[in-house]
Amino acid sequence: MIAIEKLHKSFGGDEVLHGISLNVAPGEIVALIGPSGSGKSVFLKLVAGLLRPDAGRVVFNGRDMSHLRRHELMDLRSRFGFLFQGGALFDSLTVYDNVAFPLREKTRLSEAEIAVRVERELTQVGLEEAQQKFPAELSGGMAKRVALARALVLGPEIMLFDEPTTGLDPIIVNAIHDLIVATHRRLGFSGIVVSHAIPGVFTIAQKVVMLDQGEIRFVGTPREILATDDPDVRAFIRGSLPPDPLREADAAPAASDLAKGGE
Amino acid sequence: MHERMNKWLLTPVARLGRVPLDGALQLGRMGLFLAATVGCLFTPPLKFRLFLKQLRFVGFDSLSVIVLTGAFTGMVLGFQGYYTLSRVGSTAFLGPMVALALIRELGPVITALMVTARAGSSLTAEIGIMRITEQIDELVILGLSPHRYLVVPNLLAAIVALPLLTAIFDVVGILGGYVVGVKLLGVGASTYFGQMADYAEIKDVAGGLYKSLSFGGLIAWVCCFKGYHAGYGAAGVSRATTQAVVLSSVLILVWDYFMTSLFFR
Repeated sequence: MIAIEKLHKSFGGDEVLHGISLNVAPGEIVALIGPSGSGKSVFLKLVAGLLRPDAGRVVFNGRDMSHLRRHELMDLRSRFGFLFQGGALFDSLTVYDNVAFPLREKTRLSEAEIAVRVERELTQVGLEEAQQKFPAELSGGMAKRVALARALVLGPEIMLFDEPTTGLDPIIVNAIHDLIVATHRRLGFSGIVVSHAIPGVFTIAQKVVMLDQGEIRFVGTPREILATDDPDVRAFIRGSLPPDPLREADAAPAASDLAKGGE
Repeated sequence: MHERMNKWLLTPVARLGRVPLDGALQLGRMGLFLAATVGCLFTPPLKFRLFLKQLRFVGFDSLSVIVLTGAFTGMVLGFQGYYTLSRVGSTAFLGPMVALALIRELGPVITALMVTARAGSSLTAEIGIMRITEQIDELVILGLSPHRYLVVPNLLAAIVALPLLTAIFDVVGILGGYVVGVKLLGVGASTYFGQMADYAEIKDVAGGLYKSLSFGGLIAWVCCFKGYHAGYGAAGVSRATTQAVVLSSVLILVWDYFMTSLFFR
């Protein structure tokens, strides 16, 4: 569905991506992980056409996006959904109007039909009660869910998620992951999820790609990355895992014993 | 050693060379930005509701500041004009002096500067915040033109609002000059308005109108451009807002000179 071929991108002489290639099959969700500054968000914006690559290309259903005319690219983009890190909700619009916006601008549906679609999407994300609130009145998790509803309202073929769970508490992180799985089952989109939520993101992805310093360090299934022998990948995964409270509890008396011994 | 010497000699030259290059780059970007906006201006759909909303923001919401500054500008002109003219025994020309100064120069220029300060800065900040919170990227992802939604309504609103606000500024200013000249300093009311009607011509009004139309376009262009290309974070938006106000104000005065030399030779 999407073939990404040898993408290069530099900013002010610093090369951020060094020839990344990746294929996303129809209906497949790819988790993109890696240390901060490894180029994950830049990669996502290149795929969405928000940035232009210095070299390489993104091919969507056989069409090279860099060779499309402006109106062709704009038409193609409406088949993409993008969940931005901060939600990117329009401040001046209510939750209802934010979700209705793509329908009003990109379809010829009547207001009654739009109302049905908006209510359905908001119910799916559990926010049917928040329709008249403004983005400033929402919590981080609510804003992400509204943004997800807006991104899905046109039924995209490709969903790009830029750190959908950053800054949220563990319960909301799980709820967002469940929501992504549920909407993926319902709509069948292909997707790329940039995330630091390890191992949670492995539960929603069929393929995991690890970027490090602008290069692909690992490609495999979630099971394969957890069993890999690559010491750097292991170190990253281990460092990203939440601390084990039982092990910490065991370690605490030992530390106090050590302190007593020193007295 | 040789390399260090070369670097020491070349760095200031390189910096000096970068100034006109950056200027040319910025000018080119502004030109492309305007071209994209004009392209959206002449192709449907026009976002009429957004235009009305921005017309209210740029025009109606600026009324109080325009009336206030217009009144005091006219009053100051009344005082200064009266004392200057009294030295040559020509206080009868106070009316035309106040009217021509306002209609030809001060009305369009001060109105434009006030709108820049009140509405232009706000436009830059709003669009800049939309840029850093990725709301502009969201429009692009939806396959919509940010120029059509964010720039065209502001450009049209400023082009429509500026002449109207300038007209109000002129009228209030002339009344301010009347209060000082006629009510406080004793110039005859019929002299004040009679001489004004004799000396103020339609070409003066047309010149002021053309100026305010072009100032409206200039303010919207510069302020939207700066917001659209705001840098990262709060500091980026703050810097963009300051640059927008300073650049708009300077360009208004420079452009005023060229317009004056064109229309009032």
